[in-house]
Amino acid sequence: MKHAHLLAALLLALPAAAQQRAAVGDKVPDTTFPSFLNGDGRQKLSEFFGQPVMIDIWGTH
Amino acid sequence: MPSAIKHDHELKSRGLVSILVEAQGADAATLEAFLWKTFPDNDCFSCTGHAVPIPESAGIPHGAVIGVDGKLLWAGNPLADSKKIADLIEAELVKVKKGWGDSAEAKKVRAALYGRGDLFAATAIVAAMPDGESKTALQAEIDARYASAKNAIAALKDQGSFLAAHARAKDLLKDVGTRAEWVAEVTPLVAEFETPEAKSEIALERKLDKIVKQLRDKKGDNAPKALQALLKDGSNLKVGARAQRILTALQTPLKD
Repeated sequence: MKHAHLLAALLLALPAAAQQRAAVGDKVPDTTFPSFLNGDGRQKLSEFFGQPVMIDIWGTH
Repeated sequence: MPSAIKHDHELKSRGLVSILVEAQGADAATLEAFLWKTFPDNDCFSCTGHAVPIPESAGIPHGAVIGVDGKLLWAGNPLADSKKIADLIEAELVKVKKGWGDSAEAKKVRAALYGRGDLFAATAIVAAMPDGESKTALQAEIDARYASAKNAIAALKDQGSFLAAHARAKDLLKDVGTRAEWVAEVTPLVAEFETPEAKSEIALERKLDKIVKQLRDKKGDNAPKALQALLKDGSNLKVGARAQRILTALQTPLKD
């Protein structure tokens, strides 16, 4: 029982993005980005509706 | 990274949004330092450590192209698929300009709204549509776009980008046309830039812009000294806070 509660808590703690990922052709689930450098107040992916979005995931090392 | 920045420079004015997500655990300060030192010409939306809901990848670089309607068009290694990415983006930018949707009205509304930023024209087309789901959905897009444009003015001011905020405010006043309730809301936003406080911010930002240009042109050896001098008069301003962030970034050593 205790383990079940722990598992439930862990699942709830997972970011929505980790639970649901879009495949090509799917609507991408909405997600809220952390504060942007060079932003304009838009933080949610859905706020860019109407414009194509290029996402580049990279590293500083 | 360089290709994303290049795309951003070339295509932002046509509507492309470029988002850089650092995925190796850098904190926000490290990210800012890295970008100012390595890619000072970067204007992309940039953030750290966010799980983007696209197909997982074993490594980086990794990326995605999302269409104007929010659907995933491509995901993978951007270095391996540069031609495909360019073609997909170009096709989406044509949609931005010409509109898209399942009816002629939807295309016209979206061409006005996203292609020309003409909120007034988009509203007029929607107003002439028969009541129904399509009309409601398109009106919601217009309302969201208007709210986002207003929010951008406040956000840009808050982060010390008064010149960009002023330009956005003037554009928005033009875009709302003669719709009275919007004009009544946007006119004071434009007027705020005529206050002594805003004029002080703008005067300081013009000086900051010269330093930023030197950094972008890779001629910023004296930038820290120039930023320190600028901060003597403007540290209490929002533009001063932005200058301080740049100075801190330039003074932050990067890890090997």
